[in-house]
Amino acid sequence: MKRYLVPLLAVLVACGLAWSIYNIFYVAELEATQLYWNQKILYFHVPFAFMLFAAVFACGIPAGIYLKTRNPRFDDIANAAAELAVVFGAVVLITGSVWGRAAWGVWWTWEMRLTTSLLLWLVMVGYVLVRRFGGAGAERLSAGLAVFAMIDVPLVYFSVKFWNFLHPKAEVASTLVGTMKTTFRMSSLTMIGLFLLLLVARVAQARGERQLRELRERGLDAGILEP
Amino acid sequence: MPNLRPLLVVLALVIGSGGAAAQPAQSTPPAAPAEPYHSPMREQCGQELRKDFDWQANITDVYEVVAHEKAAAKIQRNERHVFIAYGVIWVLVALFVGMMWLRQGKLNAEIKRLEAELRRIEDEDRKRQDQAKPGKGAGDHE
Repeated sequence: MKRYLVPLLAVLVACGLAWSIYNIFYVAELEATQLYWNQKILYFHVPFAFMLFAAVFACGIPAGIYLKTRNPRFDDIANAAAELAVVFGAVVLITGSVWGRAAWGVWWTWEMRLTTSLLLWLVMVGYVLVRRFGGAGAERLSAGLAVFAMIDVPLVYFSVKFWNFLHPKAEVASTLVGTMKTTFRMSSLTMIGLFLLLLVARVAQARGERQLRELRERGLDAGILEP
Repeated sequence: MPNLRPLLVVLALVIGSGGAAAQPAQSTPPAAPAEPYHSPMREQCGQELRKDFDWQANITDVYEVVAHEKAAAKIQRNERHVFIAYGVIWVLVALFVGMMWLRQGKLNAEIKRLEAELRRIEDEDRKRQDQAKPGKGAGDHE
């Protein structure tokens, strides 16, 4: 079953993406009061933002467990999810910036939602950099960072409630009607599938990387490899 | 008394455009486009504007806002932003998947190589240990 999980998810995600793209551009009504075509960015921008939060939690929770138990399997999950958070975060920030240019006339503004999102992304970039270049003990240091990043998620989510500036409220997606709503739901489901697919594949890879490290250590102990 | 001339100019433009919009649709096919209209008052207005700086500034203020609104509307209706956003999404995801693919290929090759190497060494060790055991060909070495 485990063997077929990734191909099965990949097929489902591919179908979902095709369906979503078709619906976004050919079926969903045009928002003809304010943003027109630019509103179509929402169908992927918002689901990617939710998947960014999911990735940060998928990194932070296993990282916390790893700190407690030192079980490397949890560290593999945290490591995989952190990279996904960086990719999804980059997508959210860039598509958000394009949206901002269309809606507000500026590519970037130090608005609360944008600033806290950038902070979250930078913390996750920090995690990846520590993992890559931190040397011995980097796992524990980066696990601490991941737990810290989780705290930023509610701040990002509720920032539009606490400080009402430019960014639309978090409930804007629930105000969609008709084909817009169906399309948004489908693209959200597809993004969940994409997130799971990439996470499962990346966790398997992180596990492979750990196996390789362990084999190298065994090789060093056996005197096959030179230090 | 406030300077009402810019407002009058704008009002005249609005009434003119409204009147044009209110005209009934013509049933006959439209004629070839005529030469664009040039007011005979242009020269005179130009001369007056060059003298009246306040009027000039007022007109600039009014049309600056109109120009900004036009630019904003153009940005909002422009599909370019949607293409940029979707392009970025697919490029980033494709780069990530591509990177994963490459890393996995390297990892698999490296794991296989190391496993084979370790197996070979472990077999050699076992053989050496078997040979070293007393009564199992220990004398063959000597």
